[in-house]
Amino acid sequence: MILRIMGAVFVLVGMTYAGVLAIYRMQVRLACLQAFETSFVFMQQELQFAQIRMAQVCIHIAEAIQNQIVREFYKEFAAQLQSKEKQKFSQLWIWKIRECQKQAYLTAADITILSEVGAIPFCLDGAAQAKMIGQVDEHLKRHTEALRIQIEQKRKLYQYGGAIAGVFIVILLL
Amino acid sequence: MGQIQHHITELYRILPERFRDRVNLQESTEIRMRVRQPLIVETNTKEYVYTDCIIQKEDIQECLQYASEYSIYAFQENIRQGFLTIQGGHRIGVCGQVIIQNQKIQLQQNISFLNIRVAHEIIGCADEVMSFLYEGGLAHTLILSPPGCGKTTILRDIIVHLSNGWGGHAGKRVAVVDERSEIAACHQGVPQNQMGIRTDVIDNCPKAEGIRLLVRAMNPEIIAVDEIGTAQDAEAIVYSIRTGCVMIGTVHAESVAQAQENPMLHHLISPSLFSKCIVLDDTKEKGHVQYCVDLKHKNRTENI
Repeated sequence: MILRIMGAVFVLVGMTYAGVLAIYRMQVRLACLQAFETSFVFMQQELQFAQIRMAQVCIHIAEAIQNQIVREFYKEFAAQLQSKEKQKFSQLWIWKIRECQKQAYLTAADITILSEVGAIPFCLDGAAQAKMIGQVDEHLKRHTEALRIQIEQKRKLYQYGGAIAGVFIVILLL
Repeated sequence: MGQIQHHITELYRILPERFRDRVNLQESTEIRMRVRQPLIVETNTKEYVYTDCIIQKEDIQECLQYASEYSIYAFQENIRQGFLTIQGGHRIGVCGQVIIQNQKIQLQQNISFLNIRVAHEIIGCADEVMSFLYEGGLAHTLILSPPGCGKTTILRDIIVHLSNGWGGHAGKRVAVVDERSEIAACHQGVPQNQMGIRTDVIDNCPKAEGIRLLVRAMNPEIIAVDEIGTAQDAEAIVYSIRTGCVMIGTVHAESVAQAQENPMLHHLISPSLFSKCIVLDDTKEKGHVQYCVDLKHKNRTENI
């Protein structure tokens, strides 16, 4: 009987934890995507008005962004751009995005949108370059908004659903 | 003649990745990339055609990506002028489709041809003319030669000697108007070539404006310019001479007589203005000094 009760408690706690963890991951993912959104806005401004090198733009973004994951992303990306071993921008960008996929719990759909920055053709003037990044930013905004609504809808379901499922299983066990 | 310094490491880095292991850039002077044509590397003595390295448009884009440090948008003015200078002092000439507005080149796009000119400074190449320059005191001096004979290379070495001091003479404050980024080869404002410890450089600036700015701001004793040829250049030079600066410049001409036939220059080459002339040719080697003339003291020194 004690074992059953312990098992039941374990299942209840586990299911509740799973629900909370799912919400936590979605929130981390959302925060990262919103930080990337902010970074793209910064990038547009830097390109349009400052005309400075891309590596320096990334360093400025890293200094301005609060989100730890995205800040580290831009710091490391700037280091890659300044590295003596030159590789294509698109390759470097996609590689770094995939590196932060795990940390930020990004999905394949998130990666696809973020990778669009790497695929932007290099423009001969800052305004055109900024505009292209703006288009990716718009796409990301819509995606992030959909995710935010999804989180709101699923928050209660995940938090309480986990506990309810746990109670149900406990009743079955007992 | 002098010690040639090559900086080719940077050149390998800006080549498209797929070519880096297949091309030898030792002793290269120019690298030519043309869409749908093989990569060509030129040295002083030979031309190497890499038929297994056919350039595609993507290769040009990749090369420009690396050369511009992933920031081609920041080089719009350079692209418009037809070249950009990278670390190491190498110049990349670009050629593509031009957009004209008000009869001026507004922009170049669809770049399909690159000419990478390998920087090489020959340290000590002006040693043989320094005595002539200092003889009787420093005077306004012109270096004359046909294109490609080493005027800029000798001018650069003269600047270094004048700046650092040479043969017991004290160093002078030298200011350089580097209109085409060929003398100092500045990259992000930093000269990639040795310029001397007392040298200031204004990069990518028309000579007339550059001379006026330098005289006002940097208090130079000597001003050096490359390729004097227009009426505005001549006017600015006369202005600078009147402020007391010693002028050293280069001119496209095969001889003093030919330079004097140029209506823009004939009034400059006289005992009261540019009284010293150094004439180069490439009969023996690039940068060979054919003769030096001191118009004030009516001296001519042959075959130094």
